[in-house]
Amino acid sequence: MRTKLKDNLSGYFFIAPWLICFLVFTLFPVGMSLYYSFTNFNLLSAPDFIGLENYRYLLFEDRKFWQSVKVTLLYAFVSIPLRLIFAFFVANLLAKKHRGQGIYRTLFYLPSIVGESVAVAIVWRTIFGKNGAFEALLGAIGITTEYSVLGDPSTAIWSLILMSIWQFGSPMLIFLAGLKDIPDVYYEAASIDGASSFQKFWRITVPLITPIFLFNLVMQMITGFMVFTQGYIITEGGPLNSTLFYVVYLYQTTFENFESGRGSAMAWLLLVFIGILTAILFSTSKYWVFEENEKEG
Amino acid sequence: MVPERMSAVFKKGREFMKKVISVVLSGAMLASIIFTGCSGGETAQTDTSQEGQSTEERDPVTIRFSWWGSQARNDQTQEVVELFEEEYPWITVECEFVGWDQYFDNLSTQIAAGDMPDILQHDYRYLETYVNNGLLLPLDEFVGDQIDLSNVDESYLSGGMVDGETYGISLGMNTFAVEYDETTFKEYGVEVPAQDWTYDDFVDVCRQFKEKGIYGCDLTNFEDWVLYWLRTKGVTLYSQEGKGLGYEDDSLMEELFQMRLDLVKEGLLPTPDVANQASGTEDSLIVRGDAAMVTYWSNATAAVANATENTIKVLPMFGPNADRGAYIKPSMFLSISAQTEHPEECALLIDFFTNNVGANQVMMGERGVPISSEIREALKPDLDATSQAIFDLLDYSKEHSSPIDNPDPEGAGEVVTLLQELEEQVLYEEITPAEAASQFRTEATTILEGK
Amino acid sequence: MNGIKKNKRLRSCLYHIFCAALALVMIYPILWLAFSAFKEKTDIFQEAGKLLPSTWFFENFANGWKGFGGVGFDTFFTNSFIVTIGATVLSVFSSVFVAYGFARIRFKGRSFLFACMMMTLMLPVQVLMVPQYMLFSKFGWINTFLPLIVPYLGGYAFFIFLCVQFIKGIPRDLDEAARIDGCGRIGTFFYLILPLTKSAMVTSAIFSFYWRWSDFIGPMLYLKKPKLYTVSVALKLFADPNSVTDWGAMFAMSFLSLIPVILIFLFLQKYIVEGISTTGLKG
Repeated sequence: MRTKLKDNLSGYFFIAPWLICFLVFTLFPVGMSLYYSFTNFNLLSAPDFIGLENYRYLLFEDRKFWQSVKVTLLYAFVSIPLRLIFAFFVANLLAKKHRGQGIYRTLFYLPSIVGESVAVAIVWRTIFGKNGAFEALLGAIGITTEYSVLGDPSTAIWSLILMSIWQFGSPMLIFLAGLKDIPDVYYEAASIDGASSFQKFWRITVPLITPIFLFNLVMQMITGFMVFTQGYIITEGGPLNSTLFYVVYLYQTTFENFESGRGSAMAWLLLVFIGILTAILFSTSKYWVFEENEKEG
Repeated sequence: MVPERMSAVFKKGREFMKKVISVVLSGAMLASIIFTGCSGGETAQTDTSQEGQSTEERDPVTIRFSWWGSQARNDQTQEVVELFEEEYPWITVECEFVGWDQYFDNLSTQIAAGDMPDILQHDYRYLETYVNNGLLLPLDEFVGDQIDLSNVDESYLSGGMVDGETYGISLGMNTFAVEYDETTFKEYGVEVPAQDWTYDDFVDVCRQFKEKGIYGCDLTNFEDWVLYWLRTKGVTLYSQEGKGLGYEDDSLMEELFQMRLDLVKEGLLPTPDVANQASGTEDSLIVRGDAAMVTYWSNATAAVANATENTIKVLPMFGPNADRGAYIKPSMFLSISAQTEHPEECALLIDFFTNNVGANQVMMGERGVPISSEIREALKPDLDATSQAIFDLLDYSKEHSSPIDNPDPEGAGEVVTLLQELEEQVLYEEITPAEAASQFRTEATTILEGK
Repeated sequence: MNGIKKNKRLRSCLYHIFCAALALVMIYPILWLAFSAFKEKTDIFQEAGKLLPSTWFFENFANGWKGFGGVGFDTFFTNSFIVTIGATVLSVFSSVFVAYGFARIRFKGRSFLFACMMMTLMLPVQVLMVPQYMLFSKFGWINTFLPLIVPYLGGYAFFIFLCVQFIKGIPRDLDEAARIDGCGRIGTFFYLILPLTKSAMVTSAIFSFYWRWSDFIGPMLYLKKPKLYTVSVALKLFADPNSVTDWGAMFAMSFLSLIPVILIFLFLQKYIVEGISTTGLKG
């Protein structure tokens, strides 16, 4: 009984900084956005309560809403797995000791730090647009000489997916940190037992990296569904709304169409959707994520 | 028993902690610098305004002035503000500027928090929306007192009026025009058409360039083509009250969609994938020498001219019925917030932008051709060829245009997006021009009625 | 013996060829950006296909550096450093602290609060902008750096979650040993957990530095005076669709703005080095 009280006290002691900031800085904005989602609010005059109307409109009448859902789902379900696999592969490559490793790490991470700049938008257009490098490549292998990936509604989204894979730096770095934190003792013990590199990878690296994998999966999912900048600065949602990401449409609804209430409703629909996916991931995690049990805690 | 190695871990830990503590401490010091730094800035400011009070018998006043612009405009505008502060030493103007992309988000956010700037640059598209929400102050009571409009033609003011009251004073005049590259015309031996040209002339010129291997004209500003086209037919895009469309006959829109489709299919105008690729004026087809003409608002001409070494000139839009279609539009307004505590001082600043020669010599018509005839005269000697052409065009348009439509109604932004989407679908041949025209009617009506 | 050595060298060679080739593809756009900073502004688009400038043009840097209306990039860089370093130091340290609570201590309401924390990551910033601005405006914090730093006192959900996952990977035997050694919760945290989550902290610091450095929504909303602008806000001020944009200057300043982020990465990445040496601990 007394240890329980002590645990409660020390638990809250440690999370106090977060809890206080959450109550002071986050709870109010989050609450307000929930309230706005039930109102007709154009930002310029006071909000007007209209119940579930925003949700009804979005789900049953708004064609562009469903278009944005479709685009975002395609983007997320293709790019997230590819990005994670690629990041994990490169992290393994860079985890072993080699000369020039720091340089490689930096070079591979670089694309991720220019991700949101106008420069990248321009580069992407010059590569995948008309008369771009990609068109030249297609020409060279004799497929076609007149092709703009970004200009074709059926392919524009793929160039953005490619971009997200190209920017694999953040999951890579996290994998790298995770790989480095696997205690050497496990590998040494396995070597003594005569395990091959392949066995070590599957029996030690993979299970011990699963908590980090869970983290990356959850975070990539959250950021993947909230993708904004690429669709906003490179393609502006086009052509023919084929790259109209959910959050880009949310932004347009809120600030360009002055339908802030509806934008908030979109945000909460997104939150519920991601929340459910995350909950599913967490609940299945006990079957595949390696964790020492918590009995002593 | 604790294993020996355990203590080694702890020892390492202690060393590490020392490092961490020093980092945290330096962070705390930084924070204290920030606190004191900020408050230091505040006091400095009150000091200067008190100085103003001692030299003048007026209470010091601070007004917040917000605009959008790029580097050149930001520099010029701040210079004008300094001139203004010299002339009215009791007024301090706090400048807030962001790029166009963030301007209205930013403003909406400030308004929602009750933190609106006192005086702000405003766009035609959102003026009525702001007025309907009671955010702007009618300016009529200041005209004659703080704001002198005696050198301004009446027709230049109508664009800033909503329901008979003035809510915005134009910062410059604009007309929808055809910018052309005179150097390219000469180089390819194509004759520059006369100012009263027609659509057939336009197609003819485009064909000549197509034969030479470049586009006749860039594919831009569809929404402005629509407004112009409907006006030449004697109707308007929006109805008088702004709650619906202003024309009855869908075949008008169908014809225009068909026209753009034909132009693109014949290769006179680029396809949308080519046209949408440009990253800015500096990257546009006319600047790259891949097109001879482009339809823009006249105040964008300077940016085109600036980006190329060729000579850029302007023509009025082509006819028939160009006089009926053409109109002069305020490039942007200055408006005063309904919440301001210092409306008179804001009005003085508006007057300064409108009538001060020194201020306009700094800006040189960067926001559009000045509305005051006296200012236009004063600037004439210093104009370069392109600016001269723009000034001349506006003079021509004054005689060859009709009054502007009512300000864009609420929802106009959405309608414009809809138009662009439908045009794209037509050009990608996903739908026919007839389908686009009827779809436009249905969806635009829904948008406009919902506001 | 010789064969093994040869084999090793061959493998190392392949490794370097592969990494270098991949790196080249990866950084092409960055090189493009860097070289564009040295192109004359009319050439940037005209010669977009070419990587190297035809003539080297250094004036872009001078034009860009002078900034807007008398406030130069020296001020913008200083502001960015204050905001970025302040927020990074606070959020990284607080995050590990809070993460320890979530990862190792069983207390009432833990799952619920953890879910709340994760939820804060799932709301797009675009929708929180307005109410957040209202809040900070009420506090009188507009035109100060406070809204950009103080909220990080409570850590940042992303990093808290990251550290939780790392702390879960630390063998509990170590905690046990620390307790026997006479450490309380706080002692365990400072002497055991903190040093062992170094990789997670370094990773968080790298991310935090980049995110705060490049974030422009926050600074744009809360810093309205030009002399308070950060680099990210200033960069957005170069381009305007219907007036003249000095792309050369924009690229020059974009290029300069990347340098601190790259340096921080170069400096910090080497701390992601070795695994925890706990050899023989269990024996």
